[in-house]
Amino acid sequence: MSMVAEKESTASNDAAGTPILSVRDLVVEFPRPNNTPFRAVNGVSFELRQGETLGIVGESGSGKTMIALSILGIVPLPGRIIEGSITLLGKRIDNLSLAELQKVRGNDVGIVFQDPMTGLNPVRNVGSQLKESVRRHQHVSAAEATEIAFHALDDVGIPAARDRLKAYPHELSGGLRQRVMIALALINHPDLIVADEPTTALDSTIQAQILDLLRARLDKSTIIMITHDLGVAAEICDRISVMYAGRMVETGSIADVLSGPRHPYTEGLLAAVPKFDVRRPTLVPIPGQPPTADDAITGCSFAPRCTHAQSKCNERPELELIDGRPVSCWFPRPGAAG
Amino acid sequence: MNDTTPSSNGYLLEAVDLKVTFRAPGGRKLHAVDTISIGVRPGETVGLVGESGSGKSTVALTLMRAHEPEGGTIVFDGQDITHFNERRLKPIRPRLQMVFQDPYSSLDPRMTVRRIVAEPLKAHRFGTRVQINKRVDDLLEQVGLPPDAAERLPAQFSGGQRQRIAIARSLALEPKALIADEPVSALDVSIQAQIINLLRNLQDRLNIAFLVIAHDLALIHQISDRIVVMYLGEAVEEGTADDVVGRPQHPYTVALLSATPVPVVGGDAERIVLTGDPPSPINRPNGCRFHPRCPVARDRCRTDKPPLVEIEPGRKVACFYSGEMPPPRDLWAHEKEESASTGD
Ligand SMILES: Nc1ncnc2c1ncn2[C@@H]1O[C@H](COP(=O)(O)OP(=O)(O)OP(=O)(O)O)[C@@H](O)[C@H]1O
Ligand SMILES: Nc1ncnc2c1ncn2[C@@H]1O[C@H](COP(=O)(O)OP(=O)(O)OP(=O)(O)O)[C@@H](O)[C@H]1O
Ligand SMILES: [Mg+2]
Ligand SMILES: [Mg+2]
Repeated sequence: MSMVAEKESTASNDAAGTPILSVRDLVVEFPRPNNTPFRAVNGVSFELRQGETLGIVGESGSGKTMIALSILGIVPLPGRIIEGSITLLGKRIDNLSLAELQKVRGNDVGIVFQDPMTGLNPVRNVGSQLKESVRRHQHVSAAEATEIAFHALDDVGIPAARDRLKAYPHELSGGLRQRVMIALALINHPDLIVADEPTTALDSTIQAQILDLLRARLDKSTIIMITHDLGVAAEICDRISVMYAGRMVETGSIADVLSGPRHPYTEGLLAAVPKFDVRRPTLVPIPGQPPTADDAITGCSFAPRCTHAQSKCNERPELELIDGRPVSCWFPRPGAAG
Repeated sequence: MNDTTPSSNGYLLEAVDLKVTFRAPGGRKLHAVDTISIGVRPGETVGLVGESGSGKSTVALTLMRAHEPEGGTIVFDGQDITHFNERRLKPIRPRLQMVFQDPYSSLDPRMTVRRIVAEPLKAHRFGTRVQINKRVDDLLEQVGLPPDAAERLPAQFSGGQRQRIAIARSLALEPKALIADEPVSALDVSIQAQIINLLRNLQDRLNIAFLVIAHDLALIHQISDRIVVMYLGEAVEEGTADDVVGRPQHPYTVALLSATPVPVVGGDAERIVLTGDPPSPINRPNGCRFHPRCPVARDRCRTDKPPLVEIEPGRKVACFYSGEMPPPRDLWAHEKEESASTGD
């Protein structure tokens, strides 16, 4: 659209060159009174190249949202990034001031928050929030901003988009609110889109439409897609990383991971996906519970629940390349070959 | 012992001809729910699916009497509760509970998890302080939260953890009817399975009438006895879970099923893409509400509104040309392959 001011290219991002985003050894801690701090993210590294979509899947509470918030520099207090670096478009962003971060947000990075209330202001209507974001990052008139806001809502399939500009977040259904957040994240054409469970409240037809919309942005943007829906990951991601207890335990091309999981946690997760087959009296969860902050596990965090664990698993497995992809397991599953 | 009185058709919780409207900007009417009837029997699970914005949460909230219906009646346990005031609703609340769609705004941010889960127990005099604390700890354990969770605030939890806090609270008083709005959408599939199994065990033990709203059709099919499909405030298809998923009759249901992503790369080849604008509940299309996007719509569909008719006992469809849409791609195909290849 002509009204969208073309952004000057912020960095050279020829495919082989610098990655769009590089996260190195990220550690996010929450202090606990009279106790050792809790590591929500415990040494996570990954890289993203222009036009790529990385899926982050895994255990509820394993630190996926904290990775997203770290990139935006908004880890909630008393949480803190205590180690690691985050480099966006060739520039370190983990040590920026608040004002500098404001510019990064929206302009370079657009985020779809998992919590609609972090992303949306409950006492202002949807239109004014979209317009404010447009005018903060693009040099347009108020009338032009209104048009851009309208089109942004229309693009995410919101019916009667013009009327909805005047709606307040509480007047919207869960899925409409989620689409408003997607519109807000995309409105300034960011280089990096971080989408944290962006389609949980959407029916499959609208979800398909949103995935198409994201895909259409891939010539200019790069996407991190956090999701519990492995079907969604299969549709849009090039690579996925599987998280367990603050760590990425397995990364690979989406096809490799789905058809031949190497980490036993990934294998268990795939087995628990509900399927369209005969109705079963029970579904199959992974036995046992994820570790808590007080379980001082020195070895593999998944070992207490793992049917393949041996004494070796009392030592922490590092990420090692298995068939060219990083997996942290002493006894990896056979994968597709088996 | 049976302390509930289902209505003549066996429903414990029922809405008859429910109609809910909101005021849209500009003073116009937004038709969120337009004459829907839905009922759940003790021990039964009814799945409510449909378009985002089609009125599912509004149905749920109106059943809970959080919205005033413009028309229709709500019957719980043999009593017409449509116009009950808060005082008369109070004795009903412990037996009728809900898990809200948004686990962020439905939990009081200033209260510890212990207080949140204990609140219904205290309000309905569950027992001594010690008994209440014990019950809270048990509930938190059942939904897979760590032992120290009770003393923390909602903001200190991940999305899926908050959803489980809400589930624990809804189960505290062992309700007779439970409405759950997207109860597991923020959970990884393993914890999802664990929570669903927990709800099922409880349902078996207490004969709970369970109304569940979800977008995941494979999951809904797994857990529901019957499924109701909504589009723009109305029910367009209804039947047993196997029928609705295996032999969908309404073109919208077919589209919904065909767009369901499967965790296989390249598994989305035959998706039916709906064209046309999604409909507005403020300005609804004439005739069949689905006709502007329907691949098999004819002239008649633009002018006449198809009623929801019973085509077989318990099987209802609102479409003049039901069954004409080719069935969605074989959703079960990849699983057959899978089980064939893992079978050896
Ligand atoms: N303010 C806080 N204080 C203490 N711990 C916290 C706080 N916020 C989050 N946590 C913990 O940090 C961990 C990671 O949380 P995060 O939100 O990143 O999980 P997630 O992987 O996104 O999970 P989900 O899939 O359920 O959204 C969780 O175990 C959570 O309990
Ligand atoms: N309090 C309200 N004020 C005004 N409009 C409302 C209100 N609550 C809901 N609506 C509107 O009513 C319609 C139905 O909303 P509802 O939340 O029931 O949809 P839903 O089927 O649950 O959708 P989703 O799957 O997206 O959660 C939507 O158009 C919504 O914007
Ligand atoms: Mg999260
Ligand atoms: Mg809803």
